[in-house]
Amino acid sequence: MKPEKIKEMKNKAVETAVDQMLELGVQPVQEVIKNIETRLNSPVDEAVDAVGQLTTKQQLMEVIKKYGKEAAFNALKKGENIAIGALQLIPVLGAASADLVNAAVLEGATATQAKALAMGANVVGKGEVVYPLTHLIGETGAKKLDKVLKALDPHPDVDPRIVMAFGIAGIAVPGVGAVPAAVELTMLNIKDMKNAAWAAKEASSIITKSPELAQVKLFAENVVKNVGDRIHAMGKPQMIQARAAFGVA
Amino acid sequence: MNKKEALVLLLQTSLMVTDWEKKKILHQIDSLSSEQIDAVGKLLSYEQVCLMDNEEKILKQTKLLMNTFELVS
Repeated sequence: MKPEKIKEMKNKAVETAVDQMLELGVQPVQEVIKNIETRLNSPVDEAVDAVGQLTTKQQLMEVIKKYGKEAAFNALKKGENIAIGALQLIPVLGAASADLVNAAVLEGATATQAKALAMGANVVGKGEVVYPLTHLIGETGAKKLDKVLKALDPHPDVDPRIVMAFGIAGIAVPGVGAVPAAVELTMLNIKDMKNAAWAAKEASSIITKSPELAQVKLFAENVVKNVGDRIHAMGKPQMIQARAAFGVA
Repeated sequence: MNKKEALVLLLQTSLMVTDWEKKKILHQIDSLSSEQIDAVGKLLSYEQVCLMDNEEKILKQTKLLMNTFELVS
């Protein structure tokens, strides 16, 4: 499908998507917020101490057994000794399968992490998607938030959390202009960014055929800078005041 | 700062909501109920807290993500 056609479809879908989000967004958003507040307030100090001493997967299992999956998950966010990112363990801790829990390796090597996080045949590696909100709200909250994000995302065949990460790339960056068509086409066609090899192959096959190669490189550099600048801006007094208006410190 | 003003600020800096959708929401903001403003504002506030707490990881992952598009055989 041509990029222009995709853009047209996307714009048309957005016209109604936002209205839908506002209609159905309140209740699931409220549930998500309640979930966040519960997680923030739940005492995990003991679990944090226990996780901080972890060196083996067996010990992780002991923590999960003793404190429960949620507490272990929260503790992993704070544990400095843990090489594996807490959000990467969402598919593990969120799943009931003991085999998946066993597979949560803590040694820290990327290849080992990737193998440990394998869900079926998928391998997680370079290009893994960031789920910043999932990191905070957990698997249950993420599922509820998906409902809201799906209404924002006019392409339901793409995981909305991936769209959220790609929303960063959807920013029109000053000096670069609009997102290059090659990037947008890749974004729309990538269904599972966990399969990095597939994603890279698809991306490179599109990019090498595209005359926008130089623009894509510049765009990529500017996206990273843009994201960093925007996160820094969130620490400014005006933003602190804005969050305080909703009771969030 | 009232909640509507705060929501506008939060929307402007949100990374979760795309620019197109931000414009759409801002266009409708005067007709939003206080419940809607409160719900969305709170969520966007938590988004910011989470982003700031995980800035290093996010930038690292964003770089990896962008590198995917730069790969040329």
